[in-house]
Amino acid sequence: MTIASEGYVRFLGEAERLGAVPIWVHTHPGEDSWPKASRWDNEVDKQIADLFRLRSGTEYYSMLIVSPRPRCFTFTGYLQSESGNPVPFGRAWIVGDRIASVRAFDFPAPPLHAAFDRNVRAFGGGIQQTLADLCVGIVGCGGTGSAVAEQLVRLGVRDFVLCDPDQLSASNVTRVFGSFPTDIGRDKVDVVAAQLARIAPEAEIRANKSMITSEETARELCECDIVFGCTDDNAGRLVLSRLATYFLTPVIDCGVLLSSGAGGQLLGIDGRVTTLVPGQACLVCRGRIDTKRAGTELMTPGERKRLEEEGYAPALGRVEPAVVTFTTLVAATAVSELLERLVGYGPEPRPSEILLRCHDREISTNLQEPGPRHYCHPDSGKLGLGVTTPFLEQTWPQ
Amino acid sequence: MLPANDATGLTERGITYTVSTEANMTCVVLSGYRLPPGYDREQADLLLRLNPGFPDVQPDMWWFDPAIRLKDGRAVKATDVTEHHLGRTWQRWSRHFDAGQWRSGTDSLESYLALIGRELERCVQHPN
Repeated sequence: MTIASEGYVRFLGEAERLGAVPIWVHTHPGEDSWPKASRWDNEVDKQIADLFRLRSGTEYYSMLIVSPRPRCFTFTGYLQSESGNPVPFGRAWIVGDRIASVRAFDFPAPPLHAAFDRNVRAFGGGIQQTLADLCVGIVGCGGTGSAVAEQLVRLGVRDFVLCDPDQLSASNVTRVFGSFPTDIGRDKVDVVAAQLARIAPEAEIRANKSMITSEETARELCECDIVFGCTDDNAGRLVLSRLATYFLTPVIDCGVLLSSGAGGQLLGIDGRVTTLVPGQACLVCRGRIDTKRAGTELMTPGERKRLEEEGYAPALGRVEPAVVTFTTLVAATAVSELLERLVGYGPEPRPSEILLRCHDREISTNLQEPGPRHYCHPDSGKLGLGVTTPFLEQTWPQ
Repeated sequence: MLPANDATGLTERGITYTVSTEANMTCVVLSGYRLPPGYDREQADLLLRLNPGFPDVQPDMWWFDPAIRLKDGRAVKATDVTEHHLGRTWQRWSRHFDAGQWRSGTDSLESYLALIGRELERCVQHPN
């Protein structure tokens, strides 16, 4: 058998144009097939690796063998630089309307801890294993973010990236899970990280004391399988919205809005959980971000003050009402959304937004298509584009 | 520093430009921007200051150096403020998008330059 180069060479050129690494993929058919490289596969790799590197302008060669299995598939594969050893693929992360994680053939799952027995009875060992394999980003470690973190670690998630620039205030103790009056003044990420470590000492936790509007911190989120948006700033949401498109990272964005009269009486209690996956409208298309405020949030204090005085920028810094009951409710709804997309227990078509109108005791859901010509639209060529210059194709503060 | 489509667009139009950052803003200086007929000069340097989060965050205002007036000596409305950026003195054109006018994630530097061009032409007829 020979493999004609006409079939693949033009795709190597396309990979070069995109700055991407091409992967040589083939199947070993049959549900009992062996998904590892044969002697012949190794020979083909040797023959084509240099051509792949040369024509795609990358130093890497990568291959993948996929074999069907009942209701799923298994695979082996690797990425190899010219001078290095092959780095084997450990896991496939599949993102769409549903999300799924598949371990590679050579990376069988370790036995599950008996502590998760109740979870396993609810949704099975496979989902429990996926939770253990996930790397989850949590942006914002206040009332909502800390409640998301607390639930995830108890569910069995063991790898976290936390982002929050602020310190814990006395008022935060009324909402932040794992916080105590003795923590006032500590960085919120450290308070939440400490709580996660108390529950799961083996958990890996990276705590970034910074906003994701800093490019360096935003790049940290590329490693995450999924990101929860628990920030109340518009500028951060702009970054999350783009991240979901450029890196195909599902983002579950939370919002809580309490409206009160001057006398402190609650007029409205609104919660929102929006899931950003390919094929669904981003936060900008949904009108969930006040871009004018986002611009003002990122100005230097001097410029903001000057423009506010001239009436050219919206005034920021209002202290919004917040109550633990509602931040926790929205956080639980967000984590449930992750579970539903892993397990698939809900009705289809799967809504991408849940609106909680607590004051009316009502919940509604909706779906929304990406806007035409928008970056989140499949025709834009931006889905899964990955690392670009500038990062996420937007401007960044210094 | 500029999104690729914006950089490509400027280059394709043969515009000489420099990009730098100052006070969190991405500053684009278009050298020798050609003004429409009716002004007291044919060209001036045009400064655009882009917020972090551009192109989702809309641009606001633009600046000229040297300052420009109409050919007959009249000043254009809302261009009387002078500001210092990049070690130079600029005439600020206070122009702002109405809500919904800037299409976040769709509009680009090209759309902004088109808007600036239209506004400069309009001001020749209606300076106040």
